Amino acid sequence: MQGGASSGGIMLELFGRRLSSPLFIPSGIVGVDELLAGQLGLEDFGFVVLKTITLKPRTGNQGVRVYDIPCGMMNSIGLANEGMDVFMKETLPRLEGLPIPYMVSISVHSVDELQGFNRLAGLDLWAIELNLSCPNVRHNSRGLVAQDGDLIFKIIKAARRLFNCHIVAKLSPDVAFIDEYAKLVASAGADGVAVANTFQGVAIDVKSRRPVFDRVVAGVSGPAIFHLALKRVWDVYRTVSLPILGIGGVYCADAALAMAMAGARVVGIGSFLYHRRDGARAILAEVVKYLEDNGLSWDELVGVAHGVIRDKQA
Amino acid sequence: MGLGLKVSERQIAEGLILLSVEYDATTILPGQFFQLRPVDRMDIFLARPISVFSYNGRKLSFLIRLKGRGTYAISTADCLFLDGPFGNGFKLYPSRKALLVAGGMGLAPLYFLADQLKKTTIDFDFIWGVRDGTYVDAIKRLGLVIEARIVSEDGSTGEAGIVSDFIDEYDFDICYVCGPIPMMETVLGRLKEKKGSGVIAQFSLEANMGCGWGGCKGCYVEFDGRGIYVCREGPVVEVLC
Repeated sequence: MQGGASSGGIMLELFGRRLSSPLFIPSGIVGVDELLAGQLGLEDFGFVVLKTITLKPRTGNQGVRVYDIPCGMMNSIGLANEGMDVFMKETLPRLEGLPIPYMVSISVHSVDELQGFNRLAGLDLWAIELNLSCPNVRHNSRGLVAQDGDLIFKIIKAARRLFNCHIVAKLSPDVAFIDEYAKLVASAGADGVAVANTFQGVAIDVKSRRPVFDRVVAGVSGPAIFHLALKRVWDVYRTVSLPILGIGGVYCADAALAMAMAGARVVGIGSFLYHRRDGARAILAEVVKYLEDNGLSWDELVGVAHGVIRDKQA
Repeated sequence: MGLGLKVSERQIAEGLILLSVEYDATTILPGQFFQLRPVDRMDIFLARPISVFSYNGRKLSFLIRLKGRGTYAISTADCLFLDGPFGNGFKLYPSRKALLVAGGMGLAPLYFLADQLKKTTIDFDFIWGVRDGTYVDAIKRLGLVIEARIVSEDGSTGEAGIVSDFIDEYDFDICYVCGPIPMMETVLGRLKEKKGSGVIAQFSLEANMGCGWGGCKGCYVEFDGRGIYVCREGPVVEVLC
C-alpha cells in the first residue's frame, strides 16, 4: 500500500524508496555525530538530509550565529562543515549505522565547483540535495546562487550528467516567483525540489545600535515563516509536477497537514527540533490519527487543497 | 528529550533570579547546563543555556541574570521546559589544590563546584570578582552565603581590584574559572606567565545556543587560539599551563 495510514504509522514512497514517515529532517539541522548519538528520535522521520558539505572545510561565520526571535530564530552558521575529504573518508562509513535513509546535501556555486564532488557519483546514493540557497554564503555581490536562474539551470543540468542518483534542488524563498525557478530546475533534470530555505532577515541590537550578526543578513526560520513557506509550496505545486520537499516553520500537526495539502510530498521539521528535540513525535501521531479519522491516505492529502483550481503545466 | 516542570521556588533581587524545580532524574556535574524556556510558549522559541547553581538530588536551582526577552520570560514562568543536562562539566583532580575564580555571574557554576568540593578532601580557595556591589547585595537579599573572597573593580564592596591581580597570592595546581571571556583571557594570561608550572586551568565558556545538544553549530567561540563548539566540546575547556 502506498501512502497509506496504518496503526503503526504511514507508508509512502519518495524516489523509489518506501518511507515510514512523511516527516524528514532538512539539511542544516543536525550533524552525523548527533544523529548517531541518538540526540533525536529518528523513528519519527522518514529520512534525514545531512548537513550541507562544501568542497573545502569551513569553520563558518564569525560573531553571533544563532538568535532567538518571537516564534522563530535566525541563524548565521555559514555552512560550518569538515569538507568533502573528511566526509568521504570518515563520515560516509559511519552512515551505515543510521537507522533511516539519508540524503547527501552539497553546496555548489558553479559548474566547475560541482565537478569537485565527482567522488559522490561513484557511490550508491539514494539522492543528493543541491543546496543552492544558503542565506549565509553569498554567491556574488548580487545575491545567492538560487537567485540566478541561468546559473541554477546550468548547475542542475551538469549535476544531472554527473550523478546517477536522484537530484533535489533546494531553492530560496527570496525570489519574486519561486515557481519560475522550480520550472527551471525541473527542465534541467532535477527529480525534486526542496521548497524552501530560510528567509533572509536582519536583526539589530538596540543596546549597541549595531546589527546582531557580523554579516548583517541571516536566515529566518521557525513558526514565524510557516505561512510564507506554505505560499511557496503552493506556488511550486501549481507549476511543476516534481515531488516537493516542503520546508519552513512546521511546528504542529496542522502545519504539517497544511504543507502536504499545499503540495508537499514530504514535510521537513527543522528549527522546531531546536525548540524541542522530540517535537516530531506528537506531530506524526496526530497526522496518523487525522488520516485514520478521515479515511485518507497520505497520497490523497498531497495537493488536495488545490482542488479543481490546480493547473499543472510542467 | 526534555520535560516541563513546575517552578517550586522563585526569588528575585537586583536583576538576579533564583529559580528552583523539583528534579531527581539524573546526576549532574558542576559546570553542566540545562536548556531552559517557559513551557508552551512559542514566542520564546529557543531555550537559554543556564548553568546549574545547585543540586542536591531533589532540588535543582538556577541563578539567572535578567538579561533580555528570554530570561525575563523564564523569570515569570510558572512552568519551565528543561532539557539536559548538557556539556562536560568540570573535571575534579583529587590530589590537587584548587583555586576557583569567578567573574560576575560566572559565580553560578563555581558555587555548585565549591559545594561539591566541600564534600571531598580537595582543598580549595575561592575568589569572586565583581564590577560593583550590585550582585553581592542581590546575593545577600536572596539569602545566599558565598564563602568567597570578594573583589570589586570600583572598590565598593570587598577588596578593590580585578580578580586576575589576586591569583598570585594563592598556592594551587588546578584553577577553575568562569566569567566574561575578556576576564577569563586575562586570567589565562596570568596563569601562562608561570609557563611550565603544570597548573591545569579549566574555563567554563558561554555562548548563544540554538539547541544545546550539538545540532545547530551555533555556539562556536574562539578561546585560547582555538575554535570550540561550547555545547558539545565544552562548556568547560582545559588548558595545561
